Amino acid sequence: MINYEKKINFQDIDQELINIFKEIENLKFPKGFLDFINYSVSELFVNIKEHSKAEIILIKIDINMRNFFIEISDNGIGLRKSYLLKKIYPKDDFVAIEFALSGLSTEDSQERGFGLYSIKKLVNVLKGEMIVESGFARIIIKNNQTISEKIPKGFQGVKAILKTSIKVLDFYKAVE
Amino acid sequence: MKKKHSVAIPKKYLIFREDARKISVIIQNKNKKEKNKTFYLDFSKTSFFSRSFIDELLNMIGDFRKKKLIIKITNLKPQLEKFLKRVEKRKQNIKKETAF
Repeated sequence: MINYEKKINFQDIDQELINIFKEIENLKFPKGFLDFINYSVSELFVNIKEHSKAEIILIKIDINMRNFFIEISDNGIGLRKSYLLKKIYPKDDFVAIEFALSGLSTEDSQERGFGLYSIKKLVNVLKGEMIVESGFARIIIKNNQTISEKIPKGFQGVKAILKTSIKVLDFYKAVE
Repeated sequence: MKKKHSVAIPKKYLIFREDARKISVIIQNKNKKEKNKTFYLDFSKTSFFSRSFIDELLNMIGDFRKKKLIIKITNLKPQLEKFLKRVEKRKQNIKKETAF
């Protein structure tokens, strides 16, 4: 199906997202699952474009008959610094990831900042796994539970990993 | 049939906020020439909206409404219409929750 690994420059992000959409739309998925992929991938790319100040983005996608895996990472300023620049003060990288997963945006408008929160919700509905890394923090969400781990050497930027089996999803019910 | 005062959106994928801002500029320019109270956005060629794009599009429609300019969305694919309504409802709920 798709097994794809790429390193792209920030300025190529728009075109790369369109390339991914074009590759994925030719595949057959159970009802609602393509909506989940498109939604998640677009939200992760939007976050990088609007907040990361990154130069390089790494993308890994592996889709087979049963499973979906995506990893998107950037070498930008990371979640905590992104909040600090907007005068929101998470005490450490763990809190910064928690802020992002709860829907707190670094944008000014209150309607924004829903990306990672809604992806988390969808992954939980699919009984999948979501991992977010930034700075010295890694948060793993699996089976509706949250596990926090310290990354000893730290990670510049933000890394998001989504893993789930491919199944039917009532996307418009699950997405808020 | 193409409606008068209609703006045809040529993109298949509308993802970033800047896509909505570009549409806003097109409407502003069109309004300078046509001086109409209602404009139609024709999305017949679009098959994907991101949440960010919809959010910005709704903000833009709201801003135009304050200036007495009505923007109507036409030829949306059913799944996009469903998604747009979902995001619109969420925005309204946030407004209610945060209103004093």
